[in-house]
Amino acid sequence: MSFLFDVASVLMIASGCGYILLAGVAFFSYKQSGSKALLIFLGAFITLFFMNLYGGVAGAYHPFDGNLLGYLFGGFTFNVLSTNITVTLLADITVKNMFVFETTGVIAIILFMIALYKA
Amino acid sequence: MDAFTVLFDPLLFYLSLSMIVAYAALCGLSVAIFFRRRRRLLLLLACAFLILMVVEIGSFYFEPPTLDWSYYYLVANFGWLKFSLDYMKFAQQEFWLIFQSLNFLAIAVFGVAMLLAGKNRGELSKEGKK
Repeated sequence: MSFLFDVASVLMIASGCGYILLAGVAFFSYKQSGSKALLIFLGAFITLFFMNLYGGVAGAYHPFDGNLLGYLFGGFTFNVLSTNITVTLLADITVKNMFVFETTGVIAIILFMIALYKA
Repeated sequence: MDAFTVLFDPLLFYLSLSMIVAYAALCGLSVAIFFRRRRRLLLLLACAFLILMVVEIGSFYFEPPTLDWSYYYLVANFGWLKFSLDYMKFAQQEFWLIFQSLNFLAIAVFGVAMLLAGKNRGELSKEGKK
């Protein structure tokens, strides 16, 4: 079990940080104008922050250490049992992570729709 | 289920697809409201939603691994293919990164829109109407 923060993971976390800054700007604007729609925009930006943060960290998470994967990929002996177990576990984790990621995105979109409707 | 079929999982496929359609709808909604209310802010919002839609299309198209596990099989059995396979794999990742980096553009456009909303004192809300 290890974390490997590659370019894609760092990029996603960085865009998450951008969205939290944006939430700050939306809060500043809300303080100035008092518009309730801006509060819902703030909520949508915070949701997008969590979405990108989750995507970045989940993308960097490797449930098996490099040695096992290196062994499996290096020789490619296609040991049916171990390969199938590893592949199935990896696939399940990826599907679950991506489901959470996409669902968070859908929540953000719903918030955007409510904000536009309120506006 | 194996790793190759992960991103062709029907639930994930339709969730991604619905996100693209929803961003397009948000963009259209912003433009429609712009024609009624004539606020520049709404055009900026439409632009930001359009960028987010492009980001989603990029993720949808470039995220599924084109080769995935067969890459290791092909490299192990046909070593001479490695250069072109690596090129293909990295090109796909580069495209994914390029599309993801458009998030920063969307953040900038949203930021300008939010600043404009604060500056015009309730432009987004009903109390801003004359």
